This record gives sequence, structure tokens and C-alpha cells, in this order.
Amino acid sequence: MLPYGIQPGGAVAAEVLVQEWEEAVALVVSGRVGAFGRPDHFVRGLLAGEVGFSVNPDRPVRGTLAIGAGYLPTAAVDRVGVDLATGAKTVQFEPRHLGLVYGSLTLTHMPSDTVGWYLRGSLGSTATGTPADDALFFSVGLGVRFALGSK
Amino acid sequence: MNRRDFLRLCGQLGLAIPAAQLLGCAPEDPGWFDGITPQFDGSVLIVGAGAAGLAAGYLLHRFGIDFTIVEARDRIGGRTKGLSGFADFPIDLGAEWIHDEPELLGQLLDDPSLSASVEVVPYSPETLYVYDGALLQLNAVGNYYGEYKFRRSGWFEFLDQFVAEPIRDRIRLGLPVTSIDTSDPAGVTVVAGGETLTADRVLVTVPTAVLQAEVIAFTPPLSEAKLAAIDTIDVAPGLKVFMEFEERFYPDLVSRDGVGQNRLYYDAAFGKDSDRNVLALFWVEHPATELTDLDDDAILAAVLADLDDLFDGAASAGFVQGVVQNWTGKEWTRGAYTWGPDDGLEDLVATIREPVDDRLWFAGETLATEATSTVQGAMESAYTAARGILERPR
Repeated sequence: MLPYGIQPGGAVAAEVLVQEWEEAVALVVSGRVGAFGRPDHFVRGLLAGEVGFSVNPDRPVRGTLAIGAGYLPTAAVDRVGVDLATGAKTVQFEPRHLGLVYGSLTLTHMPSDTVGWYLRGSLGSTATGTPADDALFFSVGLGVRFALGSK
Repeated sequence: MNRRDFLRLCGQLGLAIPAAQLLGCAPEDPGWFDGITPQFDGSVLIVGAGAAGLAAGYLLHRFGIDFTIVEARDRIGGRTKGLSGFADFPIDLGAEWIHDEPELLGQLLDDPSLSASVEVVPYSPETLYVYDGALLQLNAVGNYYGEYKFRRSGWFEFLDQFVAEPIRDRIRLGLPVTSIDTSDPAGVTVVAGGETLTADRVLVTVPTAVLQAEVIAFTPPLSEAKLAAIDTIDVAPGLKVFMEFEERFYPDLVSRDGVGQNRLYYDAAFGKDSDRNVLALFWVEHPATELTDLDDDAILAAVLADLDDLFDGAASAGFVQGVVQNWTGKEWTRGAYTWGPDDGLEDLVATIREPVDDRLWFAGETLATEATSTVQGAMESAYTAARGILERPR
């Protein structure tokens, strides 16, 4: 059993540099698709878009501060039937649809021109779709970044 | 990590008792009755028809042992207690949460021939407030809850339907035990409700606070070590109050005294198939004597006044009905459940559990090895004791 509160998941993102100022700051937009879940509680998709500023975009170490909005289609465990003879569970899900607004900070290290890694943190709040409209979301992510084209 | 360690951790995380009862408590081996080789075919008297007493009877019944359960009250269930008719779902006036994975329910019954199922819901409160001079929303804390609740029933119904049902004719109500005499090697003599009963062995499952009150006279007296261990157990006072309101003005959960404290207001209809607005107070810890020392009417008035303070008078304005279950104020419970001590509980439990001359045995939520203070812990301790009774020859 995972410790309470841990909701593992993954995402794939694509980032485009829109404009750069004096090789110091760049406007970037990105989109991401992912999924995460809490075992025995829910499975949740993530569709999100971000816009932000990247500092030192051409250097090996760079940072990006962004704001984003997302959609979280969710299959939440509504009830669990337990067969008392076997202990077997029958799980019934109910669909939920949540909106999300958030901010993120990404620190990227690109030791080569084509591949690097990043550490990302985000903090946000559900905007709709749950009684807890202000429910806090935060995430920490570690990922691999590929440079697929020229800026 | 034991239950108290986990409670402490949960306190640090800002969680409270219902959220924090314990980590996984089911035995790795689900077969509670596996490998029992009975060496005993005498009679057993079980004192108390709570979760432990019923579970012991359930196991002895499965092995064809002659037994009788005597209960002081006019009902079974002990610190599980159902209330029907208050709302459109059964109210759990006592134990309510399933502090484990739901498969535990099947494991506790250990009966592959059963043709029955129960529905449970994950307890994941979405709206969660903490009171710290004002109500603050800390909804993210809901992600740290990992428990379940019964959807259409409760712990009492579970015990009543599946544990007590096959042994109902062995249960005698309204017989408070006042003395247990184990001095005669030929058998045990028990006085209950003025009746003198005899058996080869006796299993005492009354709450620890009742043992501490010395309601039962033991002959010969219990050893100094056992008495000291019993007296050292810390049983917390506690109560629950259920209130129906015309409108819902409350979140799923309120931690009334701030982060890590154990006075909780919670939506009792959470996950239930209900149209009613039922808010409950759960308060188990020593400061709860602030309420448990009062009579029921005064308790309800105090709770409504407190809710009015929190929710700008919304409680009294929409109050429909209420019910109080003061576990400390009841003669046959005298408290909520085992609270400590933090250090040395395992040794105390081992001392109390130790049978006296193979004729006097003990079980109950205090005496669980893994899930102290829970229904499953009470049942586990009873199964362990009943197994011991069966496996030791006369």
C-alpha cells in the first residue's frame, strides 16, 4: 500500500518557444497529457496547457515559471462490494470532471543539445467539478527532456 | 508501526482519529481458523457480547464447543451500536469506520460457504475545515484518508447479521457478571444477574474500564501484575452526537480543535445513499470529559452552541433532531476505547492476556496484538483466546 496522499502518475508534454528576448528570457507555451491516480480511490487524466517565461533558455541550466489550466477527467471509486466468502472486491466507479488552474516552476538541465532532465513542481487548485472547489493540488515531477527541433 | 504510533503520525499530519485509526491490520494469513487442533471439549462461558465476545462464540460454534455468552445489557454489540429510524440510513453510535482494506470483513468471518456481500465506500472527505480561531479550508488533507465506511449498514449490523446470527440462541442478555470463581480445578463458577453458572473455562471480554472499576470480583484475586497492568491501561473518554438539520451548512469534515486534535464534526451521511443532512460529533480523548460529564440534554445543547459559533447560528436555526451516545457515561463501557499508554502497551497486553490456570481467559479491543482499539482488534484477540482455549487440553 502506498502511503496516504501519494498519487503516482506520469505525463508527456510538448513545449514551444514563441518569442525570445536577448537570449535571456523567452515566452513559451506547452501542453501536456498525463494520468495519475490514488489506488483504491480514483484514476484521473490530465489535459493541460501552460504559458510561461523561461529564463536563460539557451543555456544548459534554465528555469521556467508558468501558469496553466487543465481538465481532469476522473473515474472515482463510488462503492466497493465485498464478497464475504472470498473477500473479493467489486469496484464501481463514478465519472467526475474537474477543472484545474495552477502555477509551475521547472528547472531544466540540458547537458547536451538534444537531451536533458528536469525537476518540476506545481501548485494549483481545482476550479470546478467538486464540492471542494478550492481543493489544493500540488505535484512534484522528475522527467527527461528531448529537444526535437530548432527554436 | 503500531496503532498509537500511527495515530501520533496522523496527529502530526493534521488528521484525527477516524482518519487515523490504523494502518493495515488484517493478518497476512486470512485463515483465522486454519490449523486449529482442538484438544478441549468442555464448556465455555463468555462474559460480554461485544465484538470480542461474539467473535469468540462464533469460533467456538464452528468447532462444536458448548458455550454460553452472558451480557449485562439488554442488547448485543458492546461498543458497536446501531440506530435505525433516525435517518434514512443506519446510524453507527459506536464503531463506524473500517480502518483497513475492506477484504478484512471476509477475513474476519473466515467462512468460504457464506453467500453474502456488503457494500463499502472509501472515506475520502473532499471538503475539510480546521478550526483555528476561524474555519480554514484544508481540503488537500482529504487525500491522506485511507479508510472505508459501510454504505448501507454498519459495524453493528455486520456483527449482528454474520457473527451473532449463528449463535444467537447461546446469548443471554441482562445478566451482569458480579463474580468469577476459578479456585476449583473442576470448573469455574460465575454469578451473573443473581444466577450461578458453571463452565470449564471462562473468557472475559468486558471493556477494560469495567475491569478497572472492579465490577467483577475474582476468586482467587487476579495477580498483582495483572491488576497493575489493567489499571495502567489508559481508556479515553468519548462520545458521539448525531444531529439532523434542515439544510446542509457544513463540510465533509471539521477538525474542531485545530490540526492534530480529535474533536471532529463529520458528515455522517458521507457515501450513504441518503437525502438527509446528518452531522455527527466524534470526540474521543481526555478533554472530552468537558462533555461526557454532562447529561445528554446538556451535551446536545453544548454541541449546538458550539456549531452555532462555528457556522454563524446555522445549527440551531435548522436543527431537526439529535441523539447522544455518551460511551463514558454508560455503566457497561465507562469509556470509549484504549488510548495508551504510549510506551509499554504490548507488555501490558501480554500480562492481561495471560490465562489464569487455563481456566480464566481475557479478550477485547485492548488486548489486540495489531489493531488495538478497533472492532477487528477485538475480534482478533477473541479468536486468539478462543484458539488457546481449544488447543489446551483439560
